[in-house]
Amino acid sequence: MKCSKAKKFINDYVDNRLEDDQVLILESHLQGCKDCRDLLGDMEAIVNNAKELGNLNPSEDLWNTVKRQVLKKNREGRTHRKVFSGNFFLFPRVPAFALSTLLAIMILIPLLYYVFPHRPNTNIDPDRTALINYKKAEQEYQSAIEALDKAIEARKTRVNPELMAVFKRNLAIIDESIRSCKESIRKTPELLEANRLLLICYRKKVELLNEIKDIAMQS
Amino acid sequence: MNSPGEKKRQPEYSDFKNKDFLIGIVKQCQDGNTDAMENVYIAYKSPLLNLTYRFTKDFSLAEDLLQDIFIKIFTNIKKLKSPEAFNSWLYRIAVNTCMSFGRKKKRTKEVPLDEAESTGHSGDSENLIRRQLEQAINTLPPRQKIVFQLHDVQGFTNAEIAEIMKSTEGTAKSQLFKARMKIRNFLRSL
Repeated sequence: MKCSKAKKFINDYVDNRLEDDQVLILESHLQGCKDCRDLLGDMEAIVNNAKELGNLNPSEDLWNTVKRQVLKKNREGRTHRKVFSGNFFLFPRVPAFALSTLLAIMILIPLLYYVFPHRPNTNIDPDRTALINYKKAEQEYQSAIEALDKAIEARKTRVNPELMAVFKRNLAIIDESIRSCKESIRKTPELLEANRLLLICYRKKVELLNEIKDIAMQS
Repeated sequence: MNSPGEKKRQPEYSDFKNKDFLIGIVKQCQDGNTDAMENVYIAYKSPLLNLTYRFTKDFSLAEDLLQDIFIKIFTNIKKLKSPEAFNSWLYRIAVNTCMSFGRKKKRTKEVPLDEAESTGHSGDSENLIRRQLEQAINTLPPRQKIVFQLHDVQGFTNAEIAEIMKSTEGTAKSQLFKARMKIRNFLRSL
């Protein structure tokens, strides 16, 4: 056996990875080769001492720093994902979307008046079942909003004030949309589209309040 | 069940070799359970710190790198589709972070060996041979350093190292051989 081959056998030998017949071949070579015997001794010393090297431990408070950063990043990631997944009412860039929704509602309602002008005692035939369902849904949304308002009120000091200000601005836009829809419904209670738009506004409000509540709970 | 006042046993590094335990704790981490994350941190903090220290030779920098690694792990753990592959996935993140640090350090300023050793976190009990061995490891190229650290210091097999480094078992074995030979030559030259 040549020394170059013996060196590779020695590398496996110190890790107990040689077959029995390979061990015999190597041992036979070692008997007549001092260089390879020295190499084996050095390799064994390196491997044995290396096992003793791993004994460092980080400072006690490092976990708390890691935990804080992870929670913060997860929160940022979640809100970031939601902004790009169609939940409009979040963060400074979003008021533009909220505003466009409001404008759309404000344009749509007069348009509906134009298409379906309000004529007392005329031939408008409202779908009473749909209106009853809309009314029920409105009550459910109002109850949910009330519960969320209470939950947020109890924890609002935990939310970053800047973030809370953004939420409040968005809430004000939604509330304005709700007011506008209600005004239309007051004038023409049977106008189904206005009722439907009102429920969309309520749904957006509940989604936004849920976001605030989640952030308040995690803070 | 633990009796009142009895402290709950913290999982150890060896527990993570148990597949069922591993899958369970990884899923808890994926659900955002911070207690499970802390258990992962406790089990891996020391082996990972030893790896990062190998690259920084500065305890404070090694801790910074360790912090980055754990943040990457816990913010990306939801993307891990096979919880049983957690160990190699975790070490891959660690190795890539260390390699990236090594590249940045090379672009900025190479810390002289003597300076690095003097700022190191070496305890008094460390004997001369181990200090010399630390110096020798420090002279290795990054990949050989990682292979040596994982195999000879932390006890990984070549197959596990190949999985972490996205290479072959043969390459891992060859890198280990080269690393050991370089260390030997360095020690002989002292």
